[in-house]
Amino acid sequence: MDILVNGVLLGLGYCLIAVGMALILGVAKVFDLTYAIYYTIAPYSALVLIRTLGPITPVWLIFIVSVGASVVFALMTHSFLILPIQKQHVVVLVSTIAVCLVVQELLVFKAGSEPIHLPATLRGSANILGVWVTNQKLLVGGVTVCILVMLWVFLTKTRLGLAIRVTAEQPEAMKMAGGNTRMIYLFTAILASIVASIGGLLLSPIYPPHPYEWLDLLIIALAVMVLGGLGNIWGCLPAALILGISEVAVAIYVPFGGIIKRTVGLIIILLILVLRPTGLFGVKGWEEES
Amino acid sequence: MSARIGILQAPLNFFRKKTIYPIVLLLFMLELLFPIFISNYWTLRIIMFANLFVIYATSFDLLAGYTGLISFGHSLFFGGAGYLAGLLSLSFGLPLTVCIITGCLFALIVGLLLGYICLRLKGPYLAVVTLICPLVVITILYASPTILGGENGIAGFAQLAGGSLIKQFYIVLALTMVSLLIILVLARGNLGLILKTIREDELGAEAAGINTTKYKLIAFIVSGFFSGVSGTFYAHIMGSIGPTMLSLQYGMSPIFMIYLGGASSIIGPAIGAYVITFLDLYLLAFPYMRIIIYAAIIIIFLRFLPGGLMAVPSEIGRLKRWLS
Repeated sequence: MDILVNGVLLGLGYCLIAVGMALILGVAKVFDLTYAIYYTIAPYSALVLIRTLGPITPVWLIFIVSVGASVVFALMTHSFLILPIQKQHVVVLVSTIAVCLVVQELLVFKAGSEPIHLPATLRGSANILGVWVTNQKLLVGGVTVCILVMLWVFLTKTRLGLAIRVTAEQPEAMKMAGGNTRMIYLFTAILASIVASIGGLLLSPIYPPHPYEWLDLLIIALAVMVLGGLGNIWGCLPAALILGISEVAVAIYVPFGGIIKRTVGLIIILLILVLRPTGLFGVKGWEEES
Repeated sequence: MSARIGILQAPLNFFRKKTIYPIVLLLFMLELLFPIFISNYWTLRIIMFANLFVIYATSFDLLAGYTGLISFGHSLFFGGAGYLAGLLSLSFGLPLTVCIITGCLFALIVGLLLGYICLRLKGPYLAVVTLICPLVVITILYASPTILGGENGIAGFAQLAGGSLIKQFYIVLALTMVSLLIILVLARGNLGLILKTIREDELGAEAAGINTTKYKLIAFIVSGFFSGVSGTFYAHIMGSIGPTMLSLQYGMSPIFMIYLGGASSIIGPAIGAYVITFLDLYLLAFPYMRIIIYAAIIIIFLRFLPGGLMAVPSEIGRLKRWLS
């Protein structure tokens, strides 16, 4: 029971990390690894805000400012760096990793390499099926489910969502139909950065963020996405739950589990990409396009 | 992707011809004289490390530039071979040559395995898988602090040539000369041509009767072996080795070097290795700015000069034509 509840909550957190990545990498098919930086920027800007305005800063203001910072960063990287070279996936990969390294070093320079601690959005804890968990984790779970539902409605029911999916499948067709693919890519980036920064803010009291966090985040997001099938947002939820539960189980039962649990995600990516590149619930033929 | 890498081919005709071999040999002959003129210990040491990184970067170029299989985890060969050599030397007290040869062979086998695993993957998927492999190894290292040294790594094993800098310098110089010439001959010969064909059009290569599986594996093996060579020598010169040698920093550095110098030209990455190693020396004063400056340089190069330094003459020519 312990494993199940903690694993599910961890998995929901992972899902929150991965869903924005699934949006930008899976749906828009841009290999943008700066995604992890959108996630890291939010808690750091919240920290700056709290330090300047004092501890009584209203929560809504923190959320607006940090999400705004992350959106501005996403817009800048996309419009100046990624859009002109978008077709060459590997070049995008190399240059976005370079951007991640730049931001990492800037954060180390300005804020130190120690993890930063932010106050929890919700205090206290609750008893779920006989296991005590903090309210913050429950909040993360709830928000994850809300975001998934909202994304699903947005992508399947609205015209803009349709436009995003069409642009991912056939950008030329979208251009011929008179769509502005540039704006659509930028919009996808904004959407992903909003999801990422909300995730960053909500998860930061549980897992204190530090400048080197982006690689771990990237691996979690990639593991969840690859397990769920690239290009398939709905695979994220079960995949994240599987990853979360298995990590908690490994941490409890295996010797040195606390260290080894980090390889679970890595080994999942390796096995899935090598043995079954479509993932558990993948769309067939996706990997052949690139 | 293929169109882009097509541009990356070194457009400098001067370096394409056979004149390259005498030039390379001449430069190495010049380096033979360095210990006579340069008495500064650290300068010599930096040149020696630059030579090691030349092997590392050029071997990476054979895989990434020529075959188009850009791996983000080349530190697996570099650090893995170094770790094995260091462990053998420290725990079993084996002689240095045995350690080095075992380390290099280990890198070769790892190259074969990794190549076999990654046969079906290309582009970003290959990058992700290769990015992950060294991280798995690092986690295993962290989990066994007693045998493998944990986060601190292992230290205190035998140094190359008993730690004498001049001897080390000449050994590394000879090694670099031999490795670079082997890689040059391979890359400019039939093998390089076949690898380029696979990069541009794998299906077409297969249709032309090329066993692509075999040649991809060969690229992985050769590249892994020479990276292992540089890794073992690096470890035995330092006398210590830590998980950093497997980290993303060392995985990214050959990528920086090949894009700085110009991919798929062998000479370009060698120049890139020298430039980056010497930049390292001057940036020691600003430890925080190091990675920032590298990353900024590489972003600018990828964005505005995808051919690297090797493409500078042709870019100038284009500019002149555009002006006139």
